[in-house]
Amino acid sequence: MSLKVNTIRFGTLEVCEEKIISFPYGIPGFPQLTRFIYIDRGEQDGPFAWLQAVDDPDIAFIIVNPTIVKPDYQIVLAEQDIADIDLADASEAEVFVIVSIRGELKHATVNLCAPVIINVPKRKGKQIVLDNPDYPLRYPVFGSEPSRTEGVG
Amino acid sequence: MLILTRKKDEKIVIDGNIEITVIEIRGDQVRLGIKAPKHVSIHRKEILDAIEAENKQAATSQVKVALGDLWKKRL
Repeated sequence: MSLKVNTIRFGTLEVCEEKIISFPYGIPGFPQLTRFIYIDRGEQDGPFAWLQAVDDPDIAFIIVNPTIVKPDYQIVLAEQDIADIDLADASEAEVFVIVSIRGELKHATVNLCAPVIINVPKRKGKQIVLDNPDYPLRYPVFGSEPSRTEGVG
Repeated sequence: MLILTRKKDEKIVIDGNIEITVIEIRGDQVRLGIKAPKHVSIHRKEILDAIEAENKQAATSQVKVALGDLWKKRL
């Protein structure tokens, strides 16, 4: 079964139902949006991909593998997070962080504090909250802000 | 909202298995100890609020752009 997903950024997409990633708890700020699709446009977006809401054409998050931005990024999942996305093994999980752009693109930041974990085979996801002072809400993607070098050396 | 008054070292029990202890009171700061089952998530409210606000900003602010070009330019 396929369904049509209307989006303001990518037009109307025809998507296999099996491709839908369910977020049983929504995403903080958007509790009503529980279905997303992963969009990877390859070369044109470099390491970035998109998480588009199935039920709201306006809502899409730019996501990226956190180690692209911060190579030593590591997280420990709480038992409840593991249960919430039915994770049987760490190898089933993909971790992403959400990119935020304010004004100019070169000032883009990633939210290291609240990564998105996706159980790839079961297509279930959750945005979790870490309690780690090293992982801020706004970490610069392109290293143009002084905070990027904090703690180095 | 239920409002209770507690002194240092006094506790509140919620739902039989969540225990909150007033550990220390200093000026306008209170240190709390929380004992709860592992499935109970505990976070500072302002962090959750900040994550919500950040998500709202992230979801609506981007233009349709070839992010890859920008990535190459950075190098």
